[in-house]
Amino acid sequence: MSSGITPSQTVAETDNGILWRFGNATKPPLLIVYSLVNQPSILDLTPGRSMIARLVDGGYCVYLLAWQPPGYARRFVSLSDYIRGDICDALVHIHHTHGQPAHLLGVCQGGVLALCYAALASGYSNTDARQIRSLTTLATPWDTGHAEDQLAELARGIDFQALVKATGNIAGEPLAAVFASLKPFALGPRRYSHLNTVMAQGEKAVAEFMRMERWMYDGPDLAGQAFAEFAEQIYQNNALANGNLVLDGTSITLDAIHVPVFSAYASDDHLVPPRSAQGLSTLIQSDCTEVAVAGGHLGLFISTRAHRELYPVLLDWLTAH
Amino acid sequence: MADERGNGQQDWAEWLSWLNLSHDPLAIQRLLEQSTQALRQATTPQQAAKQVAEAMAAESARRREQGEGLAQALQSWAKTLASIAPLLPDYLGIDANLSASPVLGPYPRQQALFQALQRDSDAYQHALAQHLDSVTTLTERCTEAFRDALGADNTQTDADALSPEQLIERWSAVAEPIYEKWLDEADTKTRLAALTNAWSALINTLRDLADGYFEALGLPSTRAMDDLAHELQRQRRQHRQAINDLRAEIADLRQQTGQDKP
Repeated sequence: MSSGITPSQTVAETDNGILWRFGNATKPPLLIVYSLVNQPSILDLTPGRSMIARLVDGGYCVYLLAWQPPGYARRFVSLSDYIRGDICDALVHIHHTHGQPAHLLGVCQGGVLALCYAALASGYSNTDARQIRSLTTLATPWDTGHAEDQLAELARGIDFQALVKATGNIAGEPLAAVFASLKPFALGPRRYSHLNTVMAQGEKAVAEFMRMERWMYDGPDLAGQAFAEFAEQIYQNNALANGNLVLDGTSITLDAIHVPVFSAYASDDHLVPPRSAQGLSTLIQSDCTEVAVAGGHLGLFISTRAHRELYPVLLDWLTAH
Repeated sequence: MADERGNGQQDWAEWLSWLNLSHDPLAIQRLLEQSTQALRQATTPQQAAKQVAEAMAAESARRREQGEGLAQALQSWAKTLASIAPLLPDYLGIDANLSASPVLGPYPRQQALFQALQRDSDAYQHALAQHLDSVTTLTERCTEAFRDALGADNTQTDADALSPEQLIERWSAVAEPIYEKWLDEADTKTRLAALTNAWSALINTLRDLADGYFEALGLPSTRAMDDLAHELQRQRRQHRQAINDLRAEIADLRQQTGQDKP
């Protein structure tokens, strides 16, 4: 069982992850690839604000590839291993179960992994079990070569190879502190000064607050090699946008993607600013729909507005493709 | 010439005389002897006290002079080594200070690591000091602005003092834009990157040193664990490649036989 609120079951294990299934296996499959940085519980946090429940209710059999934190022996696991190994294995499992390719949905950093996979999948035949039906990206930083992207700007001068040589894997807790340091006042004194109000609202409100709190600071460790590759290729070299991303010797270009693409981003996102996530349609040759939603990064998954404005549009789009 | 050589030998002998004090490194015995001699010559208590004090001052001056001489000699030696360093095969090409001295004698790798440790430690402390200076300035700027904001609000009376929640909100409203501007500055990012890189370099050098000790004791080192992790990774990739090749073959066969379902 996942740690979320929607009933689920573990259906397979990949090399670095566990595949959870939510909903009825007779429905069309949709695979969610989450970020390596946080826990996916944010996608199924509370009733009424669960993205997973929304997709299940919308008529999909939802699969979630939940990454398992690497131990030291996996410090050299690379982006390519996640993309060509785990995502591929999960899709093959789903194809065998459903007899049809899955829709692929990538969240935040998981969107980058999904974009790379979709570009690679263009080389697979239609009968190949590794094929996908469509691609959706949510708050995905694929074009970070500008000053508005704070994380990319902070990453520019850092020697990531030396860093991961020193640390092995990258611990989740300090990484969560780095993210919090971008908005220390909103996430510190402002957030905690409202705790009295939350407590006055009762146990349910406190439980929700604490679930969010745990999610924010309970990030898993990251494989050193994959972390360094992501930081160097995506943040320092802006390799996806520049068309010079190479994974394990294979060139990955977004114009190779041939499946229809749906891309959504938040207009006030401080982690993945709109400029980093928008404009996919300029590079992708296939049908590409882009949607902006008012609000911040997390709002894209849990806000009432996103559940009112974004998910009905996404479900319609999925049905049409 | 003979005189000069003779004088030189005498100077060196005198300079090296401190080595003869190895049995009395703090010169306590010598000081006691001089004090006793001074007391013998004294005829009044005042005179005795004065002569002992003079003996102590003379001994102190003598020791200081020897120390300075030793420091000068060591500096000259280090400068000489630094000047010949570029001619030696293991020259690291690092900055022309004392840490650029060539590694001589046995255990050259160990010596080089200790040199690197000093260099990396200095660099880290420098980067950390610069960052902390910057954070201190930022904090002062925030508190000053907060003080100004509170002072400017002269409508407040004791009766309607701000609640803790209001104070937190006021503090955040004042300090947050200052912090974000600071974080946006190119210098801040450069300092943070320099601090991260200096920390990485220091940890890597410490690891190299520690690995040497672990391996000498026959214990597993980070290097050894990295080797194992590399090997596992190599095998994982080979395995995955084989599976993907098989999948492609199966897909081709299905296509050839017109069987489009898995």
